[in-house]
Amino acid sequence: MRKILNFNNIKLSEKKLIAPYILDTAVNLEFAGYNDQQIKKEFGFSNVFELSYFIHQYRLCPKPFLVKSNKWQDKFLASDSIRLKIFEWFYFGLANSLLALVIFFTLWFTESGHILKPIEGLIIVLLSHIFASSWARILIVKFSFYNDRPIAGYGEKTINQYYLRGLFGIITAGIILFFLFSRDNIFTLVFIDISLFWLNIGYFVAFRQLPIYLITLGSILFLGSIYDPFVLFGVFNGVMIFYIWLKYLINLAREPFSVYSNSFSNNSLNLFSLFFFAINYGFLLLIDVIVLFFYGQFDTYDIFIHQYLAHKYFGIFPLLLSAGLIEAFGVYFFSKIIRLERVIKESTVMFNEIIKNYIQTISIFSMLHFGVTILVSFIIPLSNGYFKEVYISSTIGVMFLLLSLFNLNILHYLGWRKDLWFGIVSLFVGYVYGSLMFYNVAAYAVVYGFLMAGIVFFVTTMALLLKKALRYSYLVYLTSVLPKL
Amino acid sequence: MVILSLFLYPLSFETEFKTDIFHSSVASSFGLLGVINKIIYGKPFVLSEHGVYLREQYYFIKQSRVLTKFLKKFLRLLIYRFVILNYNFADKIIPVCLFNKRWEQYLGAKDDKLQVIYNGINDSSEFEFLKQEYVKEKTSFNDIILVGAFYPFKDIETAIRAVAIVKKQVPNIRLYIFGPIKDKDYFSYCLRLIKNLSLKNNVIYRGVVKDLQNYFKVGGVFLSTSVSEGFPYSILEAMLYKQAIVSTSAGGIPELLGDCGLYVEMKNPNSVAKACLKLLHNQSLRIELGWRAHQRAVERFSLSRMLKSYEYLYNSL
Repeated sequence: MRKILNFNNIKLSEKKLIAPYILDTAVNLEFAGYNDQQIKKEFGFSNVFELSYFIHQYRLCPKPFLVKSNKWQDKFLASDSIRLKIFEWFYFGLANSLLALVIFFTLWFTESGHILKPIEGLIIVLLSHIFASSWARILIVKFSFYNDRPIAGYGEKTINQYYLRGLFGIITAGIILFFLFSRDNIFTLVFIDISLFWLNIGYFVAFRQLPIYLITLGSILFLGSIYDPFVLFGVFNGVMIFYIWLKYLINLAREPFSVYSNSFSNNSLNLFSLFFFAINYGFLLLIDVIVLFFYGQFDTYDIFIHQYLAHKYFGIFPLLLSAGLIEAFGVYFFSKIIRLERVIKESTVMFNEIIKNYIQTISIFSMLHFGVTILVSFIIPLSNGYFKEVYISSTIGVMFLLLSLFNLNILHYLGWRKDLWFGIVSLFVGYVYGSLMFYNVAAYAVVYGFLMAGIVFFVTTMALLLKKALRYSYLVYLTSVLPKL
Repeated sequence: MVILSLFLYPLSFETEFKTDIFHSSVASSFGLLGVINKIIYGKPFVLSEHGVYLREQYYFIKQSRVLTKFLKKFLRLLIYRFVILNYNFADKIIPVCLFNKRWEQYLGAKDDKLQVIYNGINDSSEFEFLKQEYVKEKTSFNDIILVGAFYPFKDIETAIRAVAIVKKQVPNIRLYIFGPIKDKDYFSYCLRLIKNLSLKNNVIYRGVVKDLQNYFKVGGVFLSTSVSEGFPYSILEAMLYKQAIVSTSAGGIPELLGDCGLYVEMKNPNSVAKACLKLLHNQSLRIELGWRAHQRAVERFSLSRMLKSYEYLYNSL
């Protein structure tokens, strides 16, 4: 065949094929009565093909997850490809291990021994932020995107049957250890704390991610046993909370995009996760109070416990509050958008309303967060000016990073993949810039690096978001006026 | 299986033909014969497309209630590959109008291969009535003629709704519909609509008739509400028969009709009714448009012209 082809001078060249979806959309548009002139006049595209490409490019419907079997094993197996599973297991585990290692080495190279300086505690919290946002954010978004449906479907019934048995085993073991054998053993506290924490997340986290959490837990436990388990577990809790929060924000952000399946039925926003955060924080507090009660050290607990609690709560509290606030404002923002989608059909009005709501949401959040940060910095039990300066700068940096995540979350659903690199580059540039500002003071360099990274990252993501939002609002308009495609 | 066997059917032929040129009238699996002849025997392959094959098949696939989701996806890909294969190997691709050409361009056909040859119609003297000013009076000036199959994208529904609007000003309006029933559901839907709008005496379905020309008279109103067309013969015939045409601008209709008719918005009964009333109330405009359309059809879309174009094309290969 090849010879014949050459003989007749027929050359076959490879061409980039057009996605059948684009062709299908173009066909549907034409059969629905739209021609080039009409499309140019009404929507500004030069022809049917350009419009269908636009619709295809910004199509936001997630791939539907269709599993017929009710067995959780089948769902687990069918939920994704092997490649994705390996990717998830390997890279996610790697990311968590790296996180643990970085925390460990950060502590190792300090000269503080068991008692951490405030800056070290803050570095841990900030590092957990950075790693959670740079690794977990990307990966969790990716996988929970596909895993969301099975979690919703069988998470509370099937999985917990198996999961809770193990969990209650751990709790029982922890209580027995605590009361009978080693009241002074630091790990009994850890057992109970972690167990109760996991009791909470058991209902919310994907089953398939549990092994990865276990790997993380194991690695931190190992490293913690060498160095400082309290702080490390505090960080671990923080990271876990961060994961869960991200997961909820993702679920939240999915809601308004139901417009693309032409159904507005799924508009009940989940407010339960706010409650979850409160409960979880309460658990942490309760357990420590119980522990302190048994230690009998309410009044004279030593500096070790003092430092631990200070870092644990004052380090995580703003984070938790941020999570809750962002979530609340996410609910507020998206619920408004849903209502707008229902009512408003004009793209320009739609766009203006989105921007208005976004600015409102962000500004209220920023004011509240900033206020809390200042407040916490005054009531914090360490009257150290150096610490405060570092603390305020770092928490503002965290605030911007969280706001960036809020932006990224929306960006993700507006098709962010191409713009992701801008975000990462901006993060790096911001960090380098901030570090150079105070390169002679190590702690300041780190903290201002985070601060600037947060600010630049936020500005970049917001700009990208505005750009996308314009297209998004236009697409919403298109989907509202065009026939069902 | 039926569809698949249809795809494979051409392969059962002997591939070598004792012809100089292979001409396929559709870019489907039947074009594969041309592709094979081109590859093995080096014979020229001409492809003409009256409708865009891919476009039509995609529509049918979408409409199908029998095919599964997977089969639909598979067939879409298969058809796309067939079309691309045809376009790649064809020496000349002949769309019948510029509207089709843009699809072929978008699907990757090279510009130097594309050549538009419009369909032609026989304007010879066998049609005696063309010489006459008026023909046998079967219709009056309150009649509108629509030639088109009962099919969703002929959008006969809009025509019926338009008649309901026109009826308010012209109570004895009559819409004659000629053509086969291709979609029974759509036909019954239209019948229900006629009943609901109390248009039983105003909308008359004649089916497929042999003496369609007897229903035309110079300056009569001809309506086309199609939302999708290639290069419709029905309008071309109406032009030849000196009809005042009210039409949507679907597909290749603007190329065909030019400025010799009134254009209406798609799926807009008000727009259709407005144009029809304008013509029904203005006899001179009707006759003027009819004559202009006739002139255009004879000058630009004659059969002899089309045949010459093909003859020239074949000789150039």
